[in-house]
Amino acid sequence: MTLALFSNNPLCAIMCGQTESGQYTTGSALDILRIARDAIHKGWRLLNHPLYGNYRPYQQPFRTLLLEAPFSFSQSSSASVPAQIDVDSLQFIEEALLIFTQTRCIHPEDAPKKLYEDCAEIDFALIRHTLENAGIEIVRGELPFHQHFSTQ
Amino acid sequence: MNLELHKITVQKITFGSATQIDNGTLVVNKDELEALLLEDTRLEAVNFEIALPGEKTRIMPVKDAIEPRCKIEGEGEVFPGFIGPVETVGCGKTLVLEGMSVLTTGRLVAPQEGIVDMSGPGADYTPFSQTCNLVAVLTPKADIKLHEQEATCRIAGLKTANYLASKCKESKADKVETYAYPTFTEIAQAHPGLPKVAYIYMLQSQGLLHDTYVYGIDAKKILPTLISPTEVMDGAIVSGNCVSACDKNNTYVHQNNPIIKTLYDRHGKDLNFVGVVITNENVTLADKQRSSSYAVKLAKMIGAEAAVISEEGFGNPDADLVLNCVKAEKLGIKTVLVTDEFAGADGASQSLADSCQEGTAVVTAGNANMTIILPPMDKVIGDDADADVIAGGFFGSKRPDGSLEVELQAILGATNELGFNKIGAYTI
Repeated sequence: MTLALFSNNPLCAIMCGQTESGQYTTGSALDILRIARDAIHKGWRLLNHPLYGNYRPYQQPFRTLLLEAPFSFSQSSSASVPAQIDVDSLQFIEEALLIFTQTRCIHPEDAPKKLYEDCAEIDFALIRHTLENAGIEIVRGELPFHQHFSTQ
Repeated sequence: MNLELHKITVQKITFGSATQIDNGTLVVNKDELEALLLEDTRLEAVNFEIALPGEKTRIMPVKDAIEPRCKIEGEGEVFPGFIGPVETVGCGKTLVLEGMSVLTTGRLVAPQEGIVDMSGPGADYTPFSQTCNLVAVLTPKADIKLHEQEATCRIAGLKTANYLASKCKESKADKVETYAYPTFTEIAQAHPGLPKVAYIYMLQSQGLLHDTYVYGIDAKKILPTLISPTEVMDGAIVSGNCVSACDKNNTYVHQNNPIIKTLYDRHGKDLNFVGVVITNENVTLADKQRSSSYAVKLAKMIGAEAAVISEEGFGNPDADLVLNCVKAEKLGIKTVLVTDEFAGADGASQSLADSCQEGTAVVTAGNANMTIILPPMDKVIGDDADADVIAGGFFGSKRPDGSLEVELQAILGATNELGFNKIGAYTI
């Protein structure tokens, strides 16, 4: 199984690098949804639901998505091989994008320190079961102590 | 399986020297109870407060609500896997202190929610403004991991509820309710001509602060299974769900599941209540497919011709609700879905994250995005610091006059998806 872990949660950063096509960004949750959407358009398949967690976009700044490569994917192949789009993945990501684009979102940079830390922890906990099922070794990243948090 | 609920009505709570029920007043030995809870060395501090209907009191953030119960006769003890051993419950006699709730509070994480106002406009939206509440303000030790802090608070609430009921075991009940759940052979042959209706009971199971436990097992790890409704009444299902106050199923709500109650009320009259299938709402998509297929298969196996399906939560669980609906309808099981909505402040946005053509019979518990102004209260139990970071808004906000502008999402039980709430619906 070729995997990609996309996340803006620093606690997941190391694991992003350990998947074949993963990406860690310091951007927003919406950025992660868009990165995943682009991969889905190329045939990648979601392994976790993008709307996990019962916090709204203005409460939870982090989003972590695990995707599986299309069967035709090959790192060493220079030719692009068309892949079937997974319709379920497409539907889930588009539904998530609809909610995130219509709702106020909190960027990690705007989160007060306690909120930042707690939300990172919760996000890390909620993705864990999916990662373990996919055989990913759970490795915890570090919170960025140099982050300039909101003074609230 | 036959269960009698021996219900004692609590009309007031006071603190006193010995825990007992006295003519409708529950007297609580606060020191004894606090000492019991502090046997758990993971707790730094605990304090108890009382909040009665009509008082100008706000309780926040509420983690769980639990109705005091204990076994009088029968195997095991309530809350099996936590208080009781893992023996099967749901038979015999169970004492219930009705009219009251244990509420646990204490801030574990910044975005943690759950408001109960005992009076004012907010009281109209939570059922717990009508119960006499014994509030446990809990402070777990700071140096233990977050999941341990949550477990500590969860178990403290269950211990409190069981302690209170146990101290009243010798008291006479005000009323006794009897519930029977016969064998499948008897169920299949009973009430010919009446539609066979099952209940597919979705349990929150996404992870930390979003969990439910069945006989002490994390629901994330189970395959869907059958459970007797009487086991549910004996606390076989316990909440570890601390987020989205409006639609989380507190332990109290599981104990008093109104869908189960209503199916029992109508059993033998216009339907044949054939059974309960519990299922989960995992984050992993393969789990969703497995659980929805399995749950629907079980409903079919017990002969269901129709099923009531209740969701817990929103967003990700909407996908489970849709999968359960589509797969049930495909097997010829007519469905009624019970859910709430996140339709925006004006109610104009799509209510659910997912949908299906088969979902033609849906009962709504209300729109969680509706906003409300909560006036200042004379007393706050718990922690109202940083109202902005409590979910619902980041909460909405604290206004200069001290009032809170919040979404219904922040009010405990406001849009509960078992119908244990005060918002009704009608078809227009």
